[in-house]
Amino acid sequence: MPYFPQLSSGATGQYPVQKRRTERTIINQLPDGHTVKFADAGAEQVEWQLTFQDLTDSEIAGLQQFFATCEGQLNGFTFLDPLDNLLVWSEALNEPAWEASTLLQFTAGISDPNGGTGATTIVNPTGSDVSVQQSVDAPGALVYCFSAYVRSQNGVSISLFRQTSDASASNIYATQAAWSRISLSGSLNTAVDSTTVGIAVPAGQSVDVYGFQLEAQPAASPYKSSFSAGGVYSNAHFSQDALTVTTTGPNRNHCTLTISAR
Amino acid sequence: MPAVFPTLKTGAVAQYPATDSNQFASFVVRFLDGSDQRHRQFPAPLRTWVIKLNMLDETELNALEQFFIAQEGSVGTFSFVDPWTQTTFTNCSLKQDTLQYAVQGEMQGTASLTVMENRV
Repeated sequence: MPYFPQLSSGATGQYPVQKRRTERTIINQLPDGHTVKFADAGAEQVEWQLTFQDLTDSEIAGLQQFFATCEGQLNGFTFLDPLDNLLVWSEALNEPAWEASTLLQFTAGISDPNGGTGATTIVNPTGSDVSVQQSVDAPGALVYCFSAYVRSQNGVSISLFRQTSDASASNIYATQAAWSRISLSGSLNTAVDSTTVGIAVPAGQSVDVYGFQLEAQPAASPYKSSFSAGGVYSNAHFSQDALTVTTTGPNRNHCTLTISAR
Repeated sequence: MPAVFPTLKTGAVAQYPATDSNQFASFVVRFLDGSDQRHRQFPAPLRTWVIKLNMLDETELNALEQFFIAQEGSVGTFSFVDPWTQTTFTNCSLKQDTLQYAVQGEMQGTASLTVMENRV
């Protein structure tokens, strides 16, 4: 499945971005004001309007080529929501989406840096490093930023990693007693359409974690919690059959794209 | 326990300008001589609040979107605190099946939600 290209900066979109989420409800309103409602879950739709300005000639050529490949609205592609967390269940490490050794111990409901109780304590009682990870159906070759809040009373060194079946990257961070946000950014030289990110906890150590976030951009944006749905849309389509590009000077092009997905 | 309408980081529910209204329903029969006869259809008015928000950051926008998803648009019910009177209305719904928001820049998100009281 083709995927929406990133700009040379590694970003998927520019400001301003508009997002519209649509549901459909069948409502029967009675004369006294009572209502009977039914949700039509199959009609859910999300739409983005991406406005690009001052794109270089190579960037706009990449978008035009991608638009031509998709033949406008005809063919689908993978779109990574620039306004959302690509991970699911970002605060629920006990969900099946997270792969972890059964030897790891999780304690949820820990106070988090945003004033809630969404953090989790991970204890690794084993004699070797153990990881918690999640795989996302997102192309491995794009630029990503994987971030999380961590803290530990013992100054534990933990590592964040991102990997595909044929490439990987990781970094080690020293945790502090106060919450700090750490991030791993970059791209991998791979053509695999799946990406795995995670955190490795050293042997015999414990660490508090919160706010896992994966974004298709070079740096972390404010944390966005996620539940059963993340920001990966594997069957998105353009909502237009024509791509109009305006060139205002050398290497200065702009256009607007509307993308929809279910 | 019903869901609760999300608050902003400041703890506020709404920003200026905020709008609320009372909805009555009257059935009016007009006669040829110009007179009319009126009937009350709603036993009590229904409140509606229009919450227009701006200068939101992405975390706040995400909280609104997650709330919208959890509510499935206008289907779900939740508890809403009237920002004028601090009265809690325990059975409210969104009045919209579409949530549209725009991000003009960092911490420059805008969104609008309309909350309506349900007849209990």
